Amino acid sequence: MSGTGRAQPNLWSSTRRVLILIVCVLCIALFALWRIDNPRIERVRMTIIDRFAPSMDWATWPVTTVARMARDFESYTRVYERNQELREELQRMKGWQEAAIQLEQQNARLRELNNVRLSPRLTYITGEILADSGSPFRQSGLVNIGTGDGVIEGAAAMDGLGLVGRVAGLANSTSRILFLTDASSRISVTIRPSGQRAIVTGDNTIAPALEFLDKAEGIEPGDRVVTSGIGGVFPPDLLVGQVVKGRDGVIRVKLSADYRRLRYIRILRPQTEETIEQSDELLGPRLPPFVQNLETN
Amino acid sequence: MAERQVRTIWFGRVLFASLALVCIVFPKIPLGLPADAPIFPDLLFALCLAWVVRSPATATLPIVLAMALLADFVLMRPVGLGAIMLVLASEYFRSNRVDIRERMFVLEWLTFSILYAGITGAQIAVLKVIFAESPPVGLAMHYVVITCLSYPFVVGCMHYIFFVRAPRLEKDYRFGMTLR
Repeated sequence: MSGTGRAQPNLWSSTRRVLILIVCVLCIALFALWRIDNPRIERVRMTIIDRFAPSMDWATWPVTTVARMARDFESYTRVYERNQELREELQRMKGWQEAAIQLEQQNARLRELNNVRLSPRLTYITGEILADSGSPFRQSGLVNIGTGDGVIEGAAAMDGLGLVGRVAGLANSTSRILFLTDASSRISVTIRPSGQRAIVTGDNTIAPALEFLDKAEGIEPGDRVVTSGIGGVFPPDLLVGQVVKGRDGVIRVKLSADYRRLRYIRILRPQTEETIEQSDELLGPRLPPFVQNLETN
Repeated sequence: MAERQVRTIWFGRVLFASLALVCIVFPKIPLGLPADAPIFPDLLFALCLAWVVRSPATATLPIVLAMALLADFVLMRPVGLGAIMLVLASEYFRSNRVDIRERMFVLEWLTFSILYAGITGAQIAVLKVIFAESPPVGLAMHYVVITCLSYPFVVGCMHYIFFVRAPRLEKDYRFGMTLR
């Protein structure tokens, strides 16, 4: 049956050729559609993943169980766990330190200017990472919360401390987080304390590059990088990382988010901020003339 | 007899489809997410090509196509591009399977490697031509090398664990020798 690869009857091989041709045309059509109407295909993709992701759970449990068992059998298991706990604690402490620095700076600024309006408090939803992107060319992850939980496209995703990425792709119960390290990720940031603006550009490395800087001289390694809030995509002042200089002289950002231990992710809820355009009509319709007279008297 | 043959063929198809699913799911397991994590090979490609050479009746075109499309969607690749490449490559291997089987395994491996490198290059070229975002060349080469290295492993698993083996050729019987 299968040993006679070359001696097939003509009819079968020609129908087979037609079949292959049809398949190719189908694939090319799909590819063209992907290129032309990308949002629609991406939506289809997210729907498929939404169906696919929960069933992945039982398929992956043997691997995760074996990994856990291997960890248990390790002789240095206590040391390892202790180390991990300490790391997590350190990360939490870094969060506190960061909060303290931010508060200090904010206080200083507030004292300097008297009439500062504080930005509204941020709220967030926490989700667990379900899956990796599965391709080495895409730095993204799937999280088990979606539109059903109030996640919106483009929302900022953070771990406990720093920015991780943004939501790119939504389904009912899953959403895809595009990490800052992905080659298509661009984030507008401000560098403290110099106040310069720049763009954090992912390039598939663990430390994305800082591009479109005004003056590279005013920036020192160790400067803090926070989101600028320009464009309204992200709220301002989310911590991204610290400036480092690569061996090749490229200015990069060492991300504060702990990508190696990424498990839970916070997705920020959209904040509705009222913008006031006309100051004199703020309190309602204009008063009739006699009331105005009364007021002036 | 015929019924048993049909049953084995269907068993083979189910086995192929489930292994292909495992190949799609495996790289998605979140064991370590960072950018410098070790790159996972394109196991689906290796599995399909190795299977088509050894047991073409079970890895039929519809199953290969379905798995390739699913992989394109789930693994965040350009939809349709990976599928067409995999289908064409597997059909090439299928039509040349007798020649491939007759050769030494090293030559089969070499054929696979050249084919995979060519296909990856073609994908990057297509993406560049249509101004879509294409993977960086260095990373793509790394991926090709890793996938090519995984091919003997995939073939070994098929041979020793799942007993998917090429049928022996009549020639060997004629000359009174076996392949092993």
